[in-house]
Amino acid sequence: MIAYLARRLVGSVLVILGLIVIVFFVLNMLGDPARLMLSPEASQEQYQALRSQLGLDDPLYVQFGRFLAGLARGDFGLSLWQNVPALQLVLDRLPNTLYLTAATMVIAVPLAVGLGVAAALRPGSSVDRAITVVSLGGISVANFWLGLMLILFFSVQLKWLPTSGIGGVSFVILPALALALRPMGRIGQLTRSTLLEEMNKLYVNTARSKGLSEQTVIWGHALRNAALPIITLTGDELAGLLNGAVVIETIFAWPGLGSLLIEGIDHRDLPLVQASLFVVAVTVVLLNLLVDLSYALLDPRVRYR
Amino acid sequence: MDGRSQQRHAARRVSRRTVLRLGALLGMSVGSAALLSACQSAPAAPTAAPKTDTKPAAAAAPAGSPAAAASSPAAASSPAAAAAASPAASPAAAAPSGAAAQAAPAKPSSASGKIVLVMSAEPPSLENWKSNLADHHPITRNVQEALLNRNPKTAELVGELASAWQQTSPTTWRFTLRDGVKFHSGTPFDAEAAAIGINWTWSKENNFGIRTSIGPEFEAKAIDKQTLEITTAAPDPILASRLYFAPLPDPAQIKNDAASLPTKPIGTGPYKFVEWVKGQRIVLTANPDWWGHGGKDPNGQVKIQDTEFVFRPESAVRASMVQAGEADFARFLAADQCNAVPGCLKAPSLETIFLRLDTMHPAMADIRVRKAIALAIDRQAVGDRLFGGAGRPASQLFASTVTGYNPDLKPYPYDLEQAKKLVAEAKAAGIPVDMQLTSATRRGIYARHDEFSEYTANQLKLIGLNAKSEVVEPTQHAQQFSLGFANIPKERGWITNNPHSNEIMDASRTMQGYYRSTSAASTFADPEVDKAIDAALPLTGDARQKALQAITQTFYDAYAAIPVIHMDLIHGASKRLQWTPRIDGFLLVKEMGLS
Repeated sequence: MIAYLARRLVGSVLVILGLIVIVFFVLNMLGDPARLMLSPEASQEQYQALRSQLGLDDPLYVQFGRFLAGLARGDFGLSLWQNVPALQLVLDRLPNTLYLTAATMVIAVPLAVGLGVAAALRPGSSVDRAITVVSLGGISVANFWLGLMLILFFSVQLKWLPTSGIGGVSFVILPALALALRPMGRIGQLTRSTLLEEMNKLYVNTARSKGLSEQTVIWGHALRNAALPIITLTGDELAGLLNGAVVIETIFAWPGLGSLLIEGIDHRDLPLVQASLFVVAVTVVLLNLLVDLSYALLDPRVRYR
Repeated sequence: MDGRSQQRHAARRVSRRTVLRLGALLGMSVGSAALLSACQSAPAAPTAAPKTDTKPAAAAAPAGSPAAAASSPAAASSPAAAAAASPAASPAAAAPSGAAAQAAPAKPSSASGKIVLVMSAEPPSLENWKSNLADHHPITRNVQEALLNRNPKTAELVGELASAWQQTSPTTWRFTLRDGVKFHSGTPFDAEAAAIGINWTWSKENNFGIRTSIGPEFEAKAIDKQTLEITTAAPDPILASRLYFAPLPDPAQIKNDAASLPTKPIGTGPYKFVEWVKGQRIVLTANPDWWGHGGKDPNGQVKIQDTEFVFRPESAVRASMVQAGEADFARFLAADQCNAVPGCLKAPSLETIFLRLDTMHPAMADIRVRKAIALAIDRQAVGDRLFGGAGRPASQLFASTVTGYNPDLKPYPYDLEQAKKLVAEAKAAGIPVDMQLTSATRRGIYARHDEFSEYTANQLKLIGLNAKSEVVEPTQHAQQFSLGFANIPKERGWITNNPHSNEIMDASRTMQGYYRSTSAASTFADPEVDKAIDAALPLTGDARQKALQAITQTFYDAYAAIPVIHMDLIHGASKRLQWTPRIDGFLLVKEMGLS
């Protein structure tokens, strides 16, 4: 297991480095931030002077060398737009994204598993169909529209919750709800189908004939065996949320990583984009590692060497 | 399996189950702790605007009610004559004299309450000199003041940190500064401080974005404690108009703590900076030592104690905040959102939407084709239907408040039949009207820009031109937009729909940007126009007005760019907010009140 962990970590570091290098060259090809920072009427002279100030007129290999030297020190440089350390901007936003992600999954996963179990235990019934409709609705609904509807109903009409922004628990409810429907739908559907498959296996009949209660059969045996694909999908949804739920962050003005990354890309703010991608990549890599390790915990047949 | 194996197996099963249980417990504990700590340490919610208990305010009343603003935007009254008035005369009537400013210190404000203003974007920096964007000035301008400001009702230049000003020679200006003014840090404001701030803001070495708003190079120096002299490299009669646009930083901050300039502005203004929680809010509080208390600033008084700026990119959410009582003011709403908010403030702005034509293109080099394009746009319909009534047909690239605005010019008419005839004539004369034209627009440049681009392309097709619409990524657009006439490929054929704002309120700014053949943003080249601009720049008063109007007429007759509409700006307001929008878009809390 230790050897496996070590190999995974080394591989992850290489993946992250490779990602950052690719992004460096791609962003450099996609446009010049200096023009965006000036008014359209700025003269060529002013434009060239700004490029020089920002170090953008150095040859690409010089810029790359400077970037690698900074990376070795954990320094991504100053954000071109905000003129403050880029990594600090990203790290300031990371807790907000983690908070929103956690709140979303706290809503989505128990609901999804509960609904999935309820549907699997009554296949073909009206309950099953209703749950399927709800799940598919959650997957299909445009979260842009949903976010605005939630605000209009709960904040403007009922005045139960704030419209937007970040603060106490009341601020996270609406954005988390808007984000939770999709993972709830996907995880719920998968729970239903994998549990149905497990419930038809022989060991379930054996467990029942041994006198175990139905609750124990479902939650202690069948669901445990159905857990691996559910955990895989949950990890996938988590990774998506950690990348930043840009639309919801924009609507609810939630200061997360997604909106910061998009702003950075819009402005061609290379240091900010690099720092954001680095933090996101590290988080996703750690998450994937945790998911893989959980397989070993859940399934005795899985061994990592 | 034998007994020992079973025991070992049982032991492993127990340990794995134990691990799972422990892991689940640990995970739940960590998650709960994280959530609880996030809830407890999370910043306080922006509170709903409390009912005001403001004491009766002293001195000058604020601008009129929102209803008055919606029906008769006072700021739109023509100050063109005032703005073009000879700057050589010291506007003693407009501002207290230097002698008067040495009177007793101002009384502290009786401000109370809090106002929450929702902006459409968070500024990347609070360094005013780096910005050309609409959301920077409103915040910094409350903290830092400039030598001059504009009267909120008439847009006439008035003294702010300067009490008098005069152009003493074609290249020299003298400013008499107010006495008894201090920066929030305690640094005294005097001519030396002003000179440092001005030279820092406009230095060639710093190359800040604001330099695109200036004319010739200039340099400031202190003559004595209260007298500042600015020398320009070439005659610049509108220097005062440029200076109004740039507030002054604290020289001590520049010298000792320049790294804090982007995030912690220090100025002389009626409001002091308190905090900036990135991604959330910027908070200001009333400055009890402000020079303008007790009526000394006739254009505003501090009636509100605390100000909070929050940021919501989505206009529907900004409107919702006002509806829900979370904010008093929401900037830049769409027309259809106006009805839902308690107070709808609609007022003219300096913004004009126009079509910039690549006049070097083989088809658009022909004036008949350019005229046809001008006639193909139904400005009234665009303003009414596309922009929800928030736009008025434009005849020029700048509003009527701008020096050089020619009142004799009317918006190009909408006449599809005439447009078709002109295209047919051009085609018959061998002009390649079938060459591709692109109605190009920058992604996100303003609301519904993409729909207007589609409309333009469709109209051009109707009159017989080969046009398509394209939404261009900002970086590509910026590069293409500012190539300069000589560098634009002839076959490019862009018709760019773009907003233009002339904050200097002098047509020379527009001309330097879009009429002059050597400008980075110009797609038009006429050496005669260049000469006319050069001849007009040093002029003052009526002579300047006439010269600029004549150039505007020439540009109009050449169909070099096609003005479409003057945009009105729509803001949402709470019932208690008392404020009239300014034409220059400034949001000065000293001009606001809460009922």
